[in-house]
Amino acid sequence: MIAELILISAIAVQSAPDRLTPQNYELIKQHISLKQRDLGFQQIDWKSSVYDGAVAANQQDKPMILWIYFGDPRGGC
Amino acid sequence: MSKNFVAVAANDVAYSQHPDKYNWEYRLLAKVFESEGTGIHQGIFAVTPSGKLIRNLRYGWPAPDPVRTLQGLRQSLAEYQSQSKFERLLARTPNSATDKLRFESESFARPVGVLDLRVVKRSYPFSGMTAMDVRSPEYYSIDRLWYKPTEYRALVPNRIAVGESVSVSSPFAHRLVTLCHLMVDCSPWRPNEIQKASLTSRIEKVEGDIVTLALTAEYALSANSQYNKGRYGGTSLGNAKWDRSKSTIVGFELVSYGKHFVGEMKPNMHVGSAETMVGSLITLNPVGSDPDNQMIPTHWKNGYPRGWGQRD
Repeated sequence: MIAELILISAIAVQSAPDRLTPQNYELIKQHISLKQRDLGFQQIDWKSSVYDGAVAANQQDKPMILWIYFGDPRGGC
Repeated sequence: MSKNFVAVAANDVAYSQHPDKYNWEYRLLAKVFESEGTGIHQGIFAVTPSGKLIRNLRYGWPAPDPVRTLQGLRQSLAEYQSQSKFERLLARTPNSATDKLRFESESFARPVGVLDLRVVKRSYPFSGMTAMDVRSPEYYSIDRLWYKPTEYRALVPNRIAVGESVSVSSPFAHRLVTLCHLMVDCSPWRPNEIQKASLTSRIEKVEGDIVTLALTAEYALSANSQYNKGRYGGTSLGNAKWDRSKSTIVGFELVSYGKHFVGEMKPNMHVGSAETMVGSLITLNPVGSDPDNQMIPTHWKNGYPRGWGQRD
């Protein structure tokens, strides 16, 4: 079962199908889906403003990590 | 990381363009960068709550070096702990009513009863690609796609019987297409750039109150504006589950796949072929504590009708 999943995953990453069909639907869906490595970033409790981060960091006496980019770094960046 | 740090993800443009430069929150952020010249800088930084820059943590671009980054985090923590509380903490607790910046996007909220969809997009490998290209399959993009009950009702045929179908009209299909939910990296498409966007919903199964709808779609897009010179051709397959007793969608999955041509290659974004095969997966937004749950649609301002998500 695990080997099968690894094989499917490898195929999905390696080759781009010509078109979407009911037969390759799951393979394409699997390629697009968030992977474990993608979810690591999502599991961090990101504050969405400097104000909220500074207040929380001050209360907890911890430094802030400021990730500042154009767009929404939670996904759209 | 949460054990030792408080993480903040913020949009530098939103801060830079905010008109209230005297606000406490703006001044705190500006203070972080005062040693690096004027303005708000992009990047990853370790900072004290009092707004003192400890360290720039950008080690490697576009792929950060995990070993050096971890080392930088440890050094930042040690430097923080070596500072006095007077130096590292705020002199006073700020007041959210007066010290917190208000952004225009806060006026746009998720309306009651909205169909809240999460869009994940990822390209396939293409010739000449490197990690410098935003279309690399190493990267994914997440967005939100929202519909009100009056809008998503368009998915359901008038007569509930297996085999009944409906051609789904605007705004459902148009919002899906124009707000760039089919491909990574593009500017929105204008309605006159849609050559084809046909979405059909057919009743596949009826079990009690749950009506299973099979969704199929076909798209052809072509743009030649100053914002978008791309082309796209693709299809979608998926399903939705309509609970007729509650008049709501209780299940949704749509996979789209097609060929995207980036009409204008940008040196800071694109490397290799201008053409990529790209997929999009749209599902109900998973209920949970993922930070992207707080997201609003990227194109909330220009992609939804005025007042559509106006907060009361």
